[in-house]
Amino acid sequence: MTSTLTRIVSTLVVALFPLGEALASGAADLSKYKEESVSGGSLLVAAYLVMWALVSVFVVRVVLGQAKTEARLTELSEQIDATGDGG
Amino acid sequence: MTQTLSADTRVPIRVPKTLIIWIIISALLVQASLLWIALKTPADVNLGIVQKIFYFHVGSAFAMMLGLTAASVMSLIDLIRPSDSADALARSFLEVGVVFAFCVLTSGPLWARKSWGMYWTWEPRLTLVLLVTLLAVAVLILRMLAKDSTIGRRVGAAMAVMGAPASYLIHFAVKWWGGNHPQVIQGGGIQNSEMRVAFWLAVVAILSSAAVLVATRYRAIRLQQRTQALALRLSARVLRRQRAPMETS
Repeated sequence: MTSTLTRIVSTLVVALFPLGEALASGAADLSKYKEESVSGGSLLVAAYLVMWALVSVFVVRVVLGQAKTEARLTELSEQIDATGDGG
Repeated sequence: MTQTLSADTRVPIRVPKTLIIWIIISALLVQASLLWIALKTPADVNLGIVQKIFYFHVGSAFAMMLGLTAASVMSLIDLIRPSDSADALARSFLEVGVVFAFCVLTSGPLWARKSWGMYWTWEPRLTLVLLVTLLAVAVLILRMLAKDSTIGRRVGAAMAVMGAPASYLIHFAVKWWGGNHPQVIQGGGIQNSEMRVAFWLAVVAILSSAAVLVATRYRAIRLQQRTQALALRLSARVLRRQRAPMETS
């Protein structure tokens, strides 16, 4: 377990190092980018849809996980009742 | 409202009434906020309609910052004085913080595409948000892989604590290091009154929804913890019963 954790942490450090370099070099020069041509309405709709999708996926995941846990809990309580008193 | 499993293992299965009311209020706030943004707020003079991303983008950023900072604080408490409830709260805050971090990281670039002409630039605030999100995701992956291991829980908590200074830096990044990111709150505020109402309505709606998500996730994690405790208790009882005949003979 410890070696797995070490591997995960070291991989993350190596992966994040280039981002630190980018941060140190400062912000990009925006003047070299060309004039905007994408529709603002499409970007607006896309942004709100993505945000809703992200929150919805999280809610569905929590609800499904909770249903599974509740089923397991009921099963365990029945088993405990069946084995008798005196835990 | 409470289904009792045994005398010492009371687990509330059904969602409490207060939480249901809170969910309804949050949903109404979000609907009201969306309607206000769509119908009442004017389009920005320079950016046009795309500026309306701003309301939920900034609200999500607030939820992300609060979520990740609260996760760091609860992780620190769990490190100093370990308890299942502190761990459950830390995980709930972290997960919800990550959800809103992804909202920020997707809505921001879509807005930037129109206002800056590109989706991404390695300016201080954006880079820090990405770093903090990656750190938080790393903690979640670590906790997922480590399952119930105590060392996994402690390493995860330590990593979450490290996210706190980075979250603090996100807030001051534009002020200290410049960059392209606009400063709306520190930079004079919103002048138009309808835009100001839309902004604060969106912030309240998102923070209320984030709190509901944290409460729901906290309940789910506590339920999991109690299920594990119950499973352990059952295993111990079965083992004792198997040993009993051997001890008498």
